[in-house]
Amino acid sequence: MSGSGIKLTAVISIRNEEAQLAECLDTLSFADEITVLLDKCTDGSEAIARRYTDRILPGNWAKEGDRRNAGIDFARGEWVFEIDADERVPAELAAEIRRTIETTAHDWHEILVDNHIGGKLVRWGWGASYGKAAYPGLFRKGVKRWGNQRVHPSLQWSGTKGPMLENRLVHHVDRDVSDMIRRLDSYSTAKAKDLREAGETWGSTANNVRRLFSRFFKCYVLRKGYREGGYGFLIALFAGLYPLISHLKAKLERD
Amino acid sequence: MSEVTLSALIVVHNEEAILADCLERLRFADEIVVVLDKCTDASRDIAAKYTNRLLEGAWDMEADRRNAGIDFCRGAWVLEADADEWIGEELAREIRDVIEGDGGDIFNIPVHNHVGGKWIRHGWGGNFGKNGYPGLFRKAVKRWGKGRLHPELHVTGRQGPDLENAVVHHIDRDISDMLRRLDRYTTARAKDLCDNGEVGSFPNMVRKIFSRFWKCYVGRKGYKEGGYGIVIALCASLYPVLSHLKARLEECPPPREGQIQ
Repeated sequence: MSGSGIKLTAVISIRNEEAQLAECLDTLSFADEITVLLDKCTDGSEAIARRYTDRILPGNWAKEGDRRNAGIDFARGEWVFEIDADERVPAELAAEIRRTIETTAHDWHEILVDNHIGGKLVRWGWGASYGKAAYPGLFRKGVKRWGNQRVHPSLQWSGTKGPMLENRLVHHVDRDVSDMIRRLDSYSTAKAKDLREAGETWGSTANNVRRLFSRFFKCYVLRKGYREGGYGFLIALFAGLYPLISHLKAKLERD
Repeated sequence: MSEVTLSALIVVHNEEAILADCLERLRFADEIVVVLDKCTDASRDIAAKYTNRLLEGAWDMEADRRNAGIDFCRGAWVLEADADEWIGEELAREIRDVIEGDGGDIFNIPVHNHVGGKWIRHGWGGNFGKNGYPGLFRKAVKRWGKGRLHPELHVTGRQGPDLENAVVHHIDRDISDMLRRLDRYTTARAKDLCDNGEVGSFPNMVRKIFSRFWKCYVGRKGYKEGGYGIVIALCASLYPVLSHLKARLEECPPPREGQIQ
């Protein structure tokens, strides 16, 4: 046990999420402590968060990795469970998380994710930086560090990885196709910034055109996106376009 | 009171950032008419500095608001432009010359599309960018028809030769603008597809990805424009399949599941 005596902290970092924050926090009562990191929030997020916890960290972070690390550092629990505002923890998963941290001999566990678009479960086809099918969201404090990239930061681990949990997190990833297009736009803009900062453009245009097809194939065929009909096609398409659009933004444009 | 020969008409929805630059270049017309559609920003104040011929309202369909604008014009001739389009001095002189002559009742004006201030000459088309438009016409000869985006046109007069000078169209600031435009266009198109009951088949829309990409990138020489040529061709090629999927998955009531393939 850590000195605080707190076993499990749920960590959530948000930016202006007043519309869905309460619905997320409602599913976190299984944790011993909730910490909310408020990044440049200008809406009613803080007032909502204060109804659930007094462990609130407001601030201004330019990079995803720094912001995530700040949230973890602020947690007092022996274990950390990371979650986003558009995610919900079903009761079965909450119970499994509690069971796991009491019994596991390992330091971190991955959690499967059920992604929903417009309220509809879209199980197949996710991946290639455009959506996660699972994430390493349950870990002993101290074993996980985020890298300093803007989008999809890298991870550094110490400790041993345990088995995947069986129950799934619910992720309301997009409301509709427009949300998917906007996500492609914002991800590729952030990626282009990272690329420019590193003085590169993610290889040649020809290579990124090839990646469009290989990534489409990976999501649509190998990850069985075809089973999802139209949304599966779109996930594969946007996952395929992500490197090419990021590359062209980095190459053609400045901040 | 003097007769109004030429009305310059622009239709605006919250364009405070760019409106003055456009209106400044329309002073050569005898009157400027500004249609303010659901504007909640400073567009009205800016427009009022240039003209007292303002028509405010709320229109759902593109054709209705454009036709209302044309009806509101008092000139024998109408020049239509958008807030992101600039009429240069040479084009202005040519327009005045053309309406003095008897070369026709309606004229096509070429368009030079600029992305981030850079003229992108090649590769436009496929509903994602126009190379010219019938923007100069005698008041009665042009009516807009149905369609939210790119409505049909009904033209009755004599078609004159294309003008020589081009409108400068600041179509996009960057690739994000292009993606936002693709999103907006496909949402509007999806609504039209539902209204008209012509959602089409998914395999057909997938084929169009390749045929349209070829048309813009090769046929219209988008390859000469480097990276922007690729993005333009991509957006033009994805326009049908995104419109189709938005219609089928989201816009058309009732939702019909499991019919995509």
